[in-house]
Amino acid sequence: MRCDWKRLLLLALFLTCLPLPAFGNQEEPGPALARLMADLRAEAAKGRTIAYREEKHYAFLEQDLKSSGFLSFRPPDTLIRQVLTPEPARYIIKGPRLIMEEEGRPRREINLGDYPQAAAFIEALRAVLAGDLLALERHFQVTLRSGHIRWTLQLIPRDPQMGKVVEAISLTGRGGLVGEVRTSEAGGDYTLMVLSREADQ
Amino acid sequence: MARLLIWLVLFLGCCLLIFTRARVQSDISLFLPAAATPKEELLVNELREGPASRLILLAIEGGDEAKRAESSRRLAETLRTSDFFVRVVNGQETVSPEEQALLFRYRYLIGPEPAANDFQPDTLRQALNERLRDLRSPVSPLHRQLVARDPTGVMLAMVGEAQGQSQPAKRYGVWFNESGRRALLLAETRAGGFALDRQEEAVRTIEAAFAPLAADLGTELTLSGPGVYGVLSRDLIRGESSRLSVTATLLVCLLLLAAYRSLPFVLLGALPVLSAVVAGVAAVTVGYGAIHGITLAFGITLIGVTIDYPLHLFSHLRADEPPPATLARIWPTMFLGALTTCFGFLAMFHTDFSGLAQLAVFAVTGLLAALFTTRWLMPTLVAATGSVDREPARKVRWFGHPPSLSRGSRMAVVGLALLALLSLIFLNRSPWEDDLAALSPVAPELIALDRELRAELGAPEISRMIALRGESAEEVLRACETLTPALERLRAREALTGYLPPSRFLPSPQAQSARQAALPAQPVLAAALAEALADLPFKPGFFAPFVEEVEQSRTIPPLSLRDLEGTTLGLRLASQLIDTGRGWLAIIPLAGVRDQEAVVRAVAQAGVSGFALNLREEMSRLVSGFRDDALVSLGLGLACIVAALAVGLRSTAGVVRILAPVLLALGLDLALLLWSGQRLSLFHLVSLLLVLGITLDYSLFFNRCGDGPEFRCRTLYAISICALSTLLVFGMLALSKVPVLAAIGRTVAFGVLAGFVMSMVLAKPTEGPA
Repeated sequence: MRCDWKRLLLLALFLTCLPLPAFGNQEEPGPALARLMADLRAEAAKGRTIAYREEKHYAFLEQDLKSSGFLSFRPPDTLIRQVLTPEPARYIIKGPRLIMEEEGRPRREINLGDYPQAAAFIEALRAVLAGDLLALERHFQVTLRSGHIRWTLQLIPRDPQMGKVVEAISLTGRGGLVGEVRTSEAGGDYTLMVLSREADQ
Repeated sequence: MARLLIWLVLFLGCCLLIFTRARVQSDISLFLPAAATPKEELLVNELREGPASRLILLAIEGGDEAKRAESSRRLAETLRTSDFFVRVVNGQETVSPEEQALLFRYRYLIGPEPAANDFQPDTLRQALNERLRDLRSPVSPLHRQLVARDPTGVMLAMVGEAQGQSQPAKRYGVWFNESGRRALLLAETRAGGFALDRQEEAVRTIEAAFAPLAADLGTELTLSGPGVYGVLSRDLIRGESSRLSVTATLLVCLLLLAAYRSLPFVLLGALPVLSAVVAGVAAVTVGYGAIHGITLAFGITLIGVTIDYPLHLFSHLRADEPPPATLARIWPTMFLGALTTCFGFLAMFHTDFSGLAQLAVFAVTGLLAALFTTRWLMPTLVAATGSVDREPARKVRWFGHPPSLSRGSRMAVVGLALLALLSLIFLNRSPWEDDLAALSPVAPELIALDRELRAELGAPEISRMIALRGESAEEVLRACETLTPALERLRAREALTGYLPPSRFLPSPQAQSARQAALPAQPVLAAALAEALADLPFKPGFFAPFVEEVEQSRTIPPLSLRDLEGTTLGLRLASQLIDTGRGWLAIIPLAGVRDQEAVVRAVAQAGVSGFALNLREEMSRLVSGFRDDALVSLGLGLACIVAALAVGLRSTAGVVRILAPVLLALGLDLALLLWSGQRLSLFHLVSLLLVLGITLDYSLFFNRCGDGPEFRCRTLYAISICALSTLLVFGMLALSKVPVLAAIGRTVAFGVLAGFVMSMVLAKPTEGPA
């Protein structure tokens, strides 16, 4: 009897040393993510302007807030959001700074570093459009699900404090093009942004 | 032997005194005039220990961005534990949750825009529409959590105001410059910028803390700031002057060896100078308790003239005469020369600068000590060496007589010197150096670097400001508020572009109470809000927290400076609200002042106790005041010398004959300096005083009456050696890269050369029997 449980223990130890089969792990292996980032970078390099529509849903509002305009990414680190409706505004994220030019308000410039939690979400879109995996992984756990044509990129904040503000960002797209960005805030609020490439100026 | 004993006792006594009592000060304020007005007091204070003087700017370069950031974090962490620094900031410090809560609680009492407290339905509605706009913007996560409690947006305005736009951008959570190549930090030392010893310790602490980081991460550290550059200047001046003085001493020793062929003579020659230094330091220690570093440096320069005394003795020694008799022969001239020089130095006593008075005590005591050492000790010691050199006699003969010029040639020399002086009329620039920085030994590249770092850190040098005085912090805050409308009017008509009173961050208790009184009661606010919310998409009841917190704000006790202790806002206010120990000062920095007059008038008319200040201008005024004083000293010194000579010589013609070459030499010196592109500073003026003392001696000796030709040959020999040794020492200084040393060197070297030539060719002694 005594020998038996010793043998069992050895067996157990031996088993734990064996490589486990990858069942239950739905994460795509690294190469796919790297390929997606390369596609995104290639698209970014074309310097196209992207049209967007955005809807924000807040539980404390009786109707959703809508806006629309254009996005353009200028390598290496500038994202310009030109809002056309309902009131014109321009937001430029350049390096660590956010410049806000809103009609009827003084031009403001803020240091994203001063608002680390909010900044991560503001920067996330830029990092995706730039195909900058490093920047994404600094703040988020990045998960990619690839279908035949479409892909879905799921960003979960690493910092629990951040998680209190935004629970997740989920992006879907095709090739190097991002089609939809859904930002889920805590308490059921969300923002849905739809991007389309037909814009031309 | 008894004399040697007395000298030894005195010498050792002085040494004992020095070793037990003497302290060397480095407080610059001794060399600033006694503060006569509150304005000057503030200025001296600001210079000596104002927040501006206590800043050290740090830049980390090299490695990659992440390594620079890590270096910044680790350096700041180490320095924050050090006692030398009041604060070390690198962008990491965030407003703590407690402080955020405190500021949020007081938002309606201290917020930057009291207008936001205007809770009329229309204004509320406008504010709510603005919030909808914020929620639509990409920075909505910033706003979303605050909307329900702060629909008028006071808190974000407060944060924005406190941070300003001047802060550097952050990367990896710490400050970086725009290009990202430099991580930036700012340290404020506990000690004032002119407490150089403490500053040096602070700099060493930073360097020691950074050394392991440099090794680990391959990054480099650059420092700048007033204290850092003060330490650097001192090191440079010390290094350079000790290097130069060692070289000069060696050269002078070689010269003396060649001139007198006797090692004992060279050693004995140092005795009077040594006595002079020891006596001078002892006298200042007794009189003032401590000696200033500048007094010591200047004083040693001034008493350098005493090296001439033994040289006169050595040159006049004859084999057929005991040394004491030789000294007795030349004594009257030597004595008169030394005495008149003493009178010249005594003139520095009249000034407001206690530093200059110290210098006078030092120089006069030293001079007398050297004189009496030469008089009473040297001959005996020379006799004791037993080797009166016969060589000089031959060499002296080879050297020859002083040239005797015809009357016409003399007039030509005088005319030439006068012409040089007169030519200064055509010098179409100010002869004075008003910019202290021009004398700084710090390389211009470093000064440019300092300016660059200041721009990047958003810590500009504040030159224009308003200082308000009062009994308490509350009172000066109140004064700021009284003055604010006038300043706003000045800004509106572009007399200035900006001002930042501390009351903008912490209104006075009165102002806070007034804001409280203006807040609406709960039912009034609720009604106004309901009206404002009509057909806006907010759900009912969403703003209940806002209504509740406004109600609470109406009764909380006003926020005081004490509540802010240890907070970032408190730290920020500390540089603008200063407890001087005898009251409080509020500093309002001004930007873009175009009309200083209008600012001065506004302060005067506002009925507040205070004044407008232009630091740069006041600084130049101080410097020129200092210089004027030195100039008056020079004039008074000359007058004293004339009086002493008149008494000593009892002949007007004699006074003129002796002073003419001295004055012409000073004139030539000035002309040479100015035409060679120098601007005159205090250092030049003090050096001129030395030139005056030295050349007066030359003139007295050259003009001695009733001596034979051999004596005159020996005089020429003695003075040539004196002049050569002085030229060697100060010629070395003139070559220095340190502007202050070069200024002193050039002035003395030019002056002594001119004085030597002038007093030689203009001398007109009546010859006595051979």
